[in-house]
Amino acid sequence: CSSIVNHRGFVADEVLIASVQPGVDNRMSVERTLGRPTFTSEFGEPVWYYVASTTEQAPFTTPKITQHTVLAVRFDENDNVLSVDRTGMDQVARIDPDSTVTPTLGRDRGLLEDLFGNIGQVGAATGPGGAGSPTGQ
Amino acid sequence: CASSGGGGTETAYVARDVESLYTAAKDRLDRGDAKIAAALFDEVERQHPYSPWARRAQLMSAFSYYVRRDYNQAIQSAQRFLSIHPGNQNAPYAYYLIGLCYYEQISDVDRDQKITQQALTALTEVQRRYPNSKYAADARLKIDLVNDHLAGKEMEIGRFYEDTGKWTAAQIRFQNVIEDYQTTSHTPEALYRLTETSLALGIPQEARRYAAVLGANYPGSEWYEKAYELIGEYAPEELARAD
Amino acid sequence: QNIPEEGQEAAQQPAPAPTPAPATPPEQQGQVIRTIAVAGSQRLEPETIVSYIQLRAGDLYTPAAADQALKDLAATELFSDYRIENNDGNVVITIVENPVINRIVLEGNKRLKDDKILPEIQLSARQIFTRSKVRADVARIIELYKRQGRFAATVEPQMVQLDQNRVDVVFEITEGPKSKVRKINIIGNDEFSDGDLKGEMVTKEAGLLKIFSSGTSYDPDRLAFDQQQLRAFYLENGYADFRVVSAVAELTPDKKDFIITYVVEEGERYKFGDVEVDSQLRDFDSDRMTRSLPMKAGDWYDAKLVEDTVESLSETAGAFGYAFADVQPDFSRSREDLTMGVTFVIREAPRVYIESVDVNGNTLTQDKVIRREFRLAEGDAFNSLQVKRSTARINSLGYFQENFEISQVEGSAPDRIVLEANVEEQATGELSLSAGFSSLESFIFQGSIRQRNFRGRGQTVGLSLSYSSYSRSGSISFTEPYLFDKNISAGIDIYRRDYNNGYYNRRSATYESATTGFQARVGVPLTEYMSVLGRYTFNYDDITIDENSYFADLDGDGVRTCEPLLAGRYLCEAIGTRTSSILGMSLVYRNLDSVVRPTRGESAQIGVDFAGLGGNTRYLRFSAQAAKYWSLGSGFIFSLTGETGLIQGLKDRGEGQDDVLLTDRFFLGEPQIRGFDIRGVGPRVIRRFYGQNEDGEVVLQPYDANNNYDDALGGKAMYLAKAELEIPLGSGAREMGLRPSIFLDAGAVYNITDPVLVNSPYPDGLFIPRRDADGNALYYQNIYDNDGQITGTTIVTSPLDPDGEENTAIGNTISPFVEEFVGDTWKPRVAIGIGVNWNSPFGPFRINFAYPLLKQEGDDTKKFSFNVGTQF
Repeated sequence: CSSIVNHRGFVADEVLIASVQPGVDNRMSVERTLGRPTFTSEFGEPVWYYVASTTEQAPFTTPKITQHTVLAVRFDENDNVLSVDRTGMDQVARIDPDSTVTPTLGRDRGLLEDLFGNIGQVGAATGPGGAGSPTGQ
Repeated sequence: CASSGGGGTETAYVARDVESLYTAAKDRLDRGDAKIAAALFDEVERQHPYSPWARRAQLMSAFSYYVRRDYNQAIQSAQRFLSIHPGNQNAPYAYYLIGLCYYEQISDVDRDQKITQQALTALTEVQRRYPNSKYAADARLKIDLVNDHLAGKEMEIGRFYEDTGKWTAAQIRFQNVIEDYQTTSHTPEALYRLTETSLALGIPQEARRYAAVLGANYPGSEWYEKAYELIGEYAPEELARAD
Repeated sequence: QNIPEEGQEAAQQPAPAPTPAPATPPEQQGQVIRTIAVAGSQRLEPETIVSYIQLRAGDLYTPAAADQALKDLAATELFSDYRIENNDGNVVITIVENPVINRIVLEGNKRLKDDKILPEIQLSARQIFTRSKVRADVARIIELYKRQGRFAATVEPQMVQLDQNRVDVVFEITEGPKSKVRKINIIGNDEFSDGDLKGEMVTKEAGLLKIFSSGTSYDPDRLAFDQQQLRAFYLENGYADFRVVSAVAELTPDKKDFIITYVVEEGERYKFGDVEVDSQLRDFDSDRMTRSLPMKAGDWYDAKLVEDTVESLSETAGAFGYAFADVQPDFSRSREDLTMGVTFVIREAPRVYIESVDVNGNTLTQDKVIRREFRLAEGDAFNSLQVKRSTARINSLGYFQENFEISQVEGSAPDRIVLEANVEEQATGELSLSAGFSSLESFIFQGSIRQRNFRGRGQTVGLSLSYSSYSRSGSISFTEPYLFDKNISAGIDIYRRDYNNGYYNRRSATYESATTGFQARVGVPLTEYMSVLGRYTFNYDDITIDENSYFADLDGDGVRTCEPLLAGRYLCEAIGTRTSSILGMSLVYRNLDSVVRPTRGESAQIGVDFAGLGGNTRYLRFSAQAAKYWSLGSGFIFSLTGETGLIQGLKDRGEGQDDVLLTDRFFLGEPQIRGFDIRGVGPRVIRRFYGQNEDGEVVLQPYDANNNYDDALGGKAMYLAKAELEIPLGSGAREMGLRPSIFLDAGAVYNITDPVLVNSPYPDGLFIPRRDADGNALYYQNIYDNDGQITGTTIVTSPLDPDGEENTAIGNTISPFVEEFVGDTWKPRVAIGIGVNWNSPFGPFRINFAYPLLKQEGDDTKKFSFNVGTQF
């Protein structure tokens, strides 16, 4: 039966996307037409990514991306647009997130503690030795 | 009226000379009855605000409230002490006590982290004002733990977005961790998660970059092995390309 | 030259600014400071005082520096007096520290108690006394009294000097009379009557009816607010040129109350000129928007409609991602033909994206429990409809404060926005004890413990027990709205329901039905508002009857069977054990602004249940519910709810028996329909006994005589409709959480096969002999001693004793009665009434007074019921 359709991320406007040309535009003009990117590359040469996707969620399942466009805008050192390339569904991989988790400070609270204790006092349990009494006079 | 209600009859307006009042409070504290001790110390301050004892009584009342885990009272007493005696030699201890009071109320990552933020600001205050006091070392250690905790919260939210198929939101959250908390213990996992989200968002070249950075900084970690496997499985052509 | 401060100076007149020390004589200018000393400090340490000023040893001592030092000392507000002298290089600062406050005392405050004033003022014990704080507190207290309408209140601060430079601060308060508004006159209004205009205003004329209302006290800010109300009212009706010429409040001759006079100038009534939308947003097509405008040229001008249109246009823009689209109406007024042209200009705005979604204040609830209700995530385009939808969903959780809103905070760039859910958690544990008093079942106690946010994970865990003289039931339920973090809601209930009715006599339970079973539910959303629900129920029913009072062996075959004469035919048929295994499915549509306390929106549900997947009951049941809520503005909430059900037996259970079991049929009564008792509506069998009427003849008692026995049989078809209007009370009552409402309930249960009735003939009723194990009737036989006296009896089986005397038969006779089957009609039972919902300090409290307007013969009515619960 039907599934819930949602749109995530950048609202792609074909006219605007077509207007961004390598060599013509620079960082400022791209920001004016397309706005700021959904996210940028962290390492290596600076790339602006505009990600737009449509997800569908069939009953009993998690939403899956069904339509996807990524606009990658590369800049050279003096901020001119080096290249603009679009990739779509073909690159999308179905990833099942890994279940291991880096532990955090707060320990998992047991059932009884949930019911009766107030919220787990993280510091008290694991903090190394509380403050000694004030020294000096 | 001045003294806290819970003081019991013993502390109600009995005008006593400052030494006996202070020593009464001190041995109450030593006997572990922090509740009465705190009230008695407040009484010292109220009845004899100008005696030298008052200054120490203020600090001792803050400490007694801390022992009794009445963190808000402890913070208030310490802040009142600092507002009157900012230059006092015990000021570092007062700042440190405030930091601790917040620190011990930090709740686990699923819950509101407002208290964690307050702990961070209070502890950084100790480190900034008194860098070489003996409290600064412990403050620095706790600051790292608090940052680790905040990073943990971002990771928790990022993983939630991954589980519910909101990959763009997950990518943004994990990038927050890389940008704001790169010295915490969550960075390797964040880099691995970015490999996952980049692949899911169809930008394998980014995935390879994150995996490369993970390998360069944390070569032995299990996260790097997982990232390497993932790239091999989903974007083998990326492995071949040397950047 | 410094005037030493006395303690008693009046706070109103501004304290004389302490005159700075005279500038030091010129020739010492430019001398280098060798030392700085502090004199007169008791509490504060010298280094602290020095740290407040910039003068340091080695600087140049100049009058400007000295002045600056004094200003710094004044800024700290720690000192009542300070002087600075310089005798050739060593500077001495003599100060007198401000006293420390020992206690704050309020005198003369009758209307406003201490706990109302103390938290509002800055001064508190152990703080340093400063004159500016005293002045601020005096103004604050006067402000508190003004809000209460006491404009004549005055506050006198007194300082009581104590030893060790401590001081007690005493505020002497004289409250003065409460000034009321005696009369409101309006001059110049010919289009609308004084009454209409006064209705628009917040301030009301004092009068007997209005003793409680706080609106009658005079308050200048309210006066200004009333003027705006007048303006808005006229603009709404098209009088664009309306002007309040003057608004004057004079004291009455006896100086106790006020008379307010408004002079207004109405001007002409305007019509709309041409109306259009001029949108500069890329994907906003202007003429399509113009066509959708609510007003057109020629209508009467209405300022409020223009405002609402601006609102709805910016909302539509928000739906397209333009969070900060700015919609401005440009008016072009023409005085000649009295028209007002309006152009809605939508200015260029960047499309906004969500920078981050933050959840704050959730000390118990887990972050994901709230986050999973958000329809937007980081990186998505802002969409005001989705934000509204997210707010509605978070409200529906029912864990947080009543008027929760998602706050939109400016992001780190003009095209970024942060959505914040600042929640305040409420008690989600409910311990509800409800007691009802009914004509039939006397006292009913129901208790249930429910935690709607178990372990902060959004799960609901409930244990409910109910006990009344006729039924006992207990159930445990668990619901997880997001199984494995997916959109699957799952739940399970395990329950045990015992129902018994003192069929014959009220005390002893004679007929008992025990149902034990469980129900598992799974729900999945189909669209944003529509979801499908599957459920499987398994019940084990065991209906028993008190054998020794209802079983008899009339026909002497030695086997005691259920005797219809004693227990009624349909009861005998109901006895026995059976299992029913039911598969059910429902389609649920819900678009309410909050599930817990809906004020707007509608919900509907249709469901079908098939009993026959194994087990020995067979039926098919359809059910449908629908509800619609309207918020009529200023607190009035009108709701219409409807419910209907139909059940069809699939296995013929023999002649004279309905093919749907008694326990599966529909019943109707309290609490579904108000004004009627539990199972008080619908087909029933009434056993009417004979009694004496006023003039002594023996006659059948009326239907509702209370020693008649009536036993509801339920029905195979049911409908129920309810209309309720919630009435807002004044702000005082609303603070107490009082929510009265008037309601009208109408419904009926009907359509079952007519039961076969039994009668016990008049006048001597019926004799049921007792029999021994092999079925022969028993008699008492007298034993005579040798001189003929009866000394005892023995039980024998022959009707005559050895010498032919009659033995007395053992058994009981049933008094004469007539059984009648009544109430099986679709005609609606209607009840009208008022009820009050009150979140009392110990929990939700509902009380209902209902009067049945229309009822059928045999229905049990109940005019009063209440239900009280506590929250923890």
